Amino acid sequence: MTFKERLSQGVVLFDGAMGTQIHALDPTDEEYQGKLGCSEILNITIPDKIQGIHRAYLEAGSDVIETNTFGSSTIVLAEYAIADQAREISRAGARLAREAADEFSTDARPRFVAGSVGPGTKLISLGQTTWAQMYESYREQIGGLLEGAADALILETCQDPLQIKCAMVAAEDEMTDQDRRVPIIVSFTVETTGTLLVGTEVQSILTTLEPYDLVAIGMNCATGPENMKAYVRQICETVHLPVIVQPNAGLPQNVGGQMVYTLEIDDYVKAMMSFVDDEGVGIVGGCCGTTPEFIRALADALGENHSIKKRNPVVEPGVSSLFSAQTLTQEPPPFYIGERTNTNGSKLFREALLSGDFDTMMDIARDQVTSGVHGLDVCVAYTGRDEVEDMTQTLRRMVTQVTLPLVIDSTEYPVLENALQMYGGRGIINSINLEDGEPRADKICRLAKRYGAALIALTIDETGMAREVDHKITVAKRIYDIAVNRHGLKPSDLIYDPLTFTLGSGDESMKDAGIKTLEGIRAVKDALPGVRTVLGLSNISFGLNPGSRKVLNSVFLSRAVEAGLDMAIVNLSHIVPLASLDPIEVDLAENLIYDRGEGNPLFKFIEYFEAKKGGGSEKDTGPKIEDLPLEERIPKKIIQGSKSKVEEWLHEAMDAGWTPIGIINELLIPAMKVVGDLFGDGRMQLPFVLQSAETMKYSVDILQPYMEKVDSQEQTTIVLGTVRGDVHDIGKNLVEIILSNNGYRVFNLGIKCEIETMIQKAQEVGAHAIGMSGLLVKSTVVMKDNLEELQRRGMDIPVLLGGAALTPGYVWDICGPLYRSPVVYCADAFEGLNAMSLIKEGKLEQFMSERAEKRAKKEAVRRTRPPEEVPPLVIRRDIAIPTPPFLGTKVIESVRLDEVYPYLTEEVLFRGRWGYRRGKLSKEEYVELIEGTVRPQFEELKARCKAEKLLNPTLVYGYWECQSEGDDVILYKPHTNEELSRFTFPRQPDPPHQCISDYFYSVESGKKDIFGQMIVTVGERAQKESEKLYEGNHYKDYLLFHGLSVETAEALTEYWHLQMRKELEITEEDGQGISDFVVQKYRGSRYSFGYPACPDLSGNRRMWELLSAERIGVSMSEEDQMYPEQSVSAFVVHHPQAKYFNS
Amino acid sequence: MKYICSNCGYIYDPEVGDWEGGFDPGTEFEDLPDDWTCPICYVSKNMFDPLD
Repeated sequence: MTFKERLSQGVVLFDGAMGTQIHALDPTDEEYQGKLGCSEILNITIPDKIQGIHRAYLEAGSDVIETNTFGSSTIVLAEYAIADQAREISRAGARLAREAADEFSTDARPRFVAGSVGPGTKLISLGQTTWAQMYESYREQIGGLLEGAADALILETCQDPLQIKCAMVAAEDEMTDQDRRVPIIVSFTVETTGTLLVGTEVQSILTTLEPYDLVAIGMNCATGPENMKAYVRQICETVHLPVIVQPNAGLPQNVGGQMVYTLEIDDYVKAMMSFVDDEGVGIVGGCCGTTPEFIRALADALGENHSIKKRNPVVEPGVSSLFSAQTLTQEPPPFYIGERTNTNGSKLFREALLSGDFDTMMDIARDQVTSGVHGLDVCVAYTGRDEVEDMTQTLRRMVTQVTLPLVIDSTEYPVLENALQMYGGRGIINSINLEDGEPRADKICRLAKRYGAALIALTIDETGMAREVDHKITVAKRIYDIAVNRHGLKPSDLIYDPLTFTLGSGDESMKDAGIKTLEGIRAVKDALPGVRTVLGLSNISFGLNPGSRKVLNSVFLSRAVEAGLDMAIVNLSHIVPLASLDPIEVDLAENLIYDRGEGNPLFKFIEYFEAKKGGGSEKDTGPKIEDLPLEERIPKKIIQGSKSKVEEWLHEAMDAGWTPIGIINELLIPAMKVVGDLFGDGRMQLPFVLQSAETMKYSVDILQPYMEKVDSQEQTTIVLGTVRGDVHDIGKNLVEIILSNNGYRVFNLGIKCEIETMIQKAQEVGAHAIGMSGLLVKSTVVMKDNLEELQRRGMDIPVLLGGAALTPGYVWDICGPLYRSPVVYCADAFEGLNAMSLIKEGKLEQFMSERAEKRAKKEAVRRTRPPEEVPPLVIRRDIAIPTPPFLGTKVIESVRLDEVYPYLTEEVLFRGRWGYRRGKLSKEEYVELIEGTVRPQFEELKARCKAEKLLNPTLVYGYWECQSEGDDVILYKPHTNEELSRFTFPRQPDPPHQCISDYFYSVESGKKDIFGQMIVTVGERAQKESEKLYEGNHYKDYLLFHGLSVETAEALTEYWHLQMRKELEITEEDGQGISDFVVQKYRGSRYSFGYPACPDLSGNRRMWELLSAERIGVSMSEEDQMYPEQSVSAFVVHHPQAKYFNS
Repeated sequence: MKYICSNCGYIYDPEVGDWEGGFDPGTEFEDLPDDWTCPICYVSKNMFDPLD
């Protein structure tokens, strides 16, 4: 029985984890040949033991065992300096499994070997390796597996569609070389984000894999079966092939440095049987953490030849980018393909390419995305240039910046092949024809088959372009025969272009070209069921004036769709719905298309639009930016946040007589004001604002050398600083960015700023305002002190206050009265900008008094329950004291980012740190923003931080015996009664008079309680990288990276807090996830010094000393804050009643 | 309608209210006073986004 035959007999059982079993063997250094972590070398050094693992699974009931070759590719083994042994090790691994399988195999119960091929350690879509390198690497690995007589190949734990394609192509070639074919299974990994690691949505990977001749598709790893449910269902509903599912034994927990999987076997079996019986999964197994016991239990539950539930999958042919998919049939039709990223279709694009201006090229791509197209046609052909190189450079940027599928447009084979080797999604090749006969067509069909691409076919043969409908059909049929019958492509892979000729040339012989094209569409779809059609729409009106072209294109498109047109290559901003056109114009267009009516339809058409010069009755979608006058063009660039062409236009402006200062004051600054207004209106999010600010800075830097020395006193000036004892500066830095790019002079004094420094600088530069910022609660008190000092020194310039812990009430009622000049609460940089603007215009005082009046009129706080009704707090004294796994400290190095990322609170990251607030956007618009822009950014940044090791989670934690004594908590030296250290906690002055120390057993009780602590960090590199971005004026990247680094430190804290709760076995009250943890739905709260329950930051230093945190690269500043900034310290109180409170 | 704190992720649910602050279930977010702060992280109302 072949592997394929077995699949149709009933449910197939794979094996469980190899890694866990190898770990249990505890191989020696010698057995690893010093290459610790390289499981594959064990195939050579301890083959019997490895075979023993295979036997264990076969005994447990596995129908198929996987070889121990997950990482035996050249690229991975290179990390162990044994790259050249890839084939040998793979072969050895396959042989071991082969022997074992043959031992157990019977006619009634055949056993099979699946050669395991892992994703490798380098992501090709992120440019960490090349197609050529990866291809060679897989040839060796797969070659060895075939030589070792594997029955099938399983490409598993896949993270990147391009890697899968490379492996499949390598497999195909190796199988051809060895003249040995085996079926291929592809199993990808869906992260907790719902996408592959590189950001690919499930539908996208399924669309990309659809053209390939696989024997099964499915998913493995990352999570346990529970978290896979939705995706398993999606796969079962969308693929024809048998579906394979191999989950982990739950989510991994790090228990004292060991990875532990906690799913119970019973729950595993239940979940897998549900996949089989409810969803129709046909192949089951286990990934990390599963053991022979798991497999045995599942084998028992399945019995013999368990039937597979019938499925009715709906497969819609589509195309995809690295991220998302589009169906080829759009409802309503057509599928729009943008034509502007094409050197032949756009002068702008062509010129940008020639001048190496990739920014503009990407702008054009992005513009089209927002115009509503479903895909983009990319062509970089230009005589005399290296098209392969140009395509490489263009595509490299496009594949990660554009979420739409691409149409690769070239007449050169090497360009097509090179492009397809960079493209992870399912693309469309544009195009194939028979102009040069069949051999060339064969070549391109082979390309389409090899890379799983769809194919646009032009009805051109050796005699030229087909004008007559019959001729078009003949050519179409020939191409169909070659593509489908000779090369095994599917009808749905073919998209015919029956050619569009211009009706604007006046050529008599072309009068009916339009009619014939429309006929051609109908006829092709009739003659060749299953194929689709496309037109290069603009061709119909080539040579006519722009206004008339819009009309003719729109009308022709409408008729073509009626005739059955599926796809159109267009400039969407030049298409209008028929209904919004003047009926007279529609008539004229149709007369031209159908060659009817009185007189010469072309003359009538041209005549009419000559009179209307460039007009048209359609709603204008807005002129191209290049057509606008300079005074409008330049501000638009600021608002769009796009740097392309700016330098050229600024020089153009100066040549035309604008002074640099004039450009700044009259064009740039008003544009930034518009940005501010859009932000204030909730129509523009912070990261877009930063892009505008970057463009502003870029523009000002260009103008700088041409400016005369401006009298600095003229510019409204502010001195900015983060107050004493506070190291947080992202808020302040954002203020600097916004203010300086709106024409204000800003002196940024940095962090931990003494009031004296601020006063001196303010006096030195004649500042008009002082800005104080600070994150900590403590800083609000420092600000108060600073104001008292300013008052004492007779200062009289306004003060702007910003900080997370500030409230309007605190600033108005507590701070305001301390100082003679206005003290303004600024919730964000734009309120600061508003304040500066009022200061500049001398209107601040008036504004403040109006505000004061409004505040006075406000109603008092409408509480619904009087606060005195706080019930007295009775602290239970019957709580069992958890047993910690150890006393003292432990360092946990290099926690994998994959373990930490799931604990990120996306809501906080996206909305809070990155500033993508809902604002005035509708629900749909906001979802669109998040899914279309923010999430791809997020995935890319996470992957990059992981790949480039920008974030390195590390931590130190520990447990101490302790007792409370009044308001103190005493920590003891392990197993002694000797005091090691003590913390003094504040007690609430108001009822119920809580104090953290109350939650521990006291000295009097005689019981020793447990105190947990941790300090976590994502490493110094994060701080340095952040600074580098800021110094380089990459404002948006700075915001995004800084935000992610800080939130990852928080996520790491959340993650480790969970570990500690597990170690203490107090997880019984745990909620469901992050949103529950935020509100402390667990037992065992963690506290950080500086927050209301324990505001004294000096506790930080004590913890740092107790944990010896310098071991993980964390140092303390004088003000008891940690460096790098992306570090968190916390202690854990296990008492179930301990929650946050305000002291 | 629920509102989420963009600083810490806390969700204000009108059906639950804010016990600590003295606001009974049934209090809509819009009706909370201007100087109401997040019960978890103490930032002001303007840091909250609607969650629908």
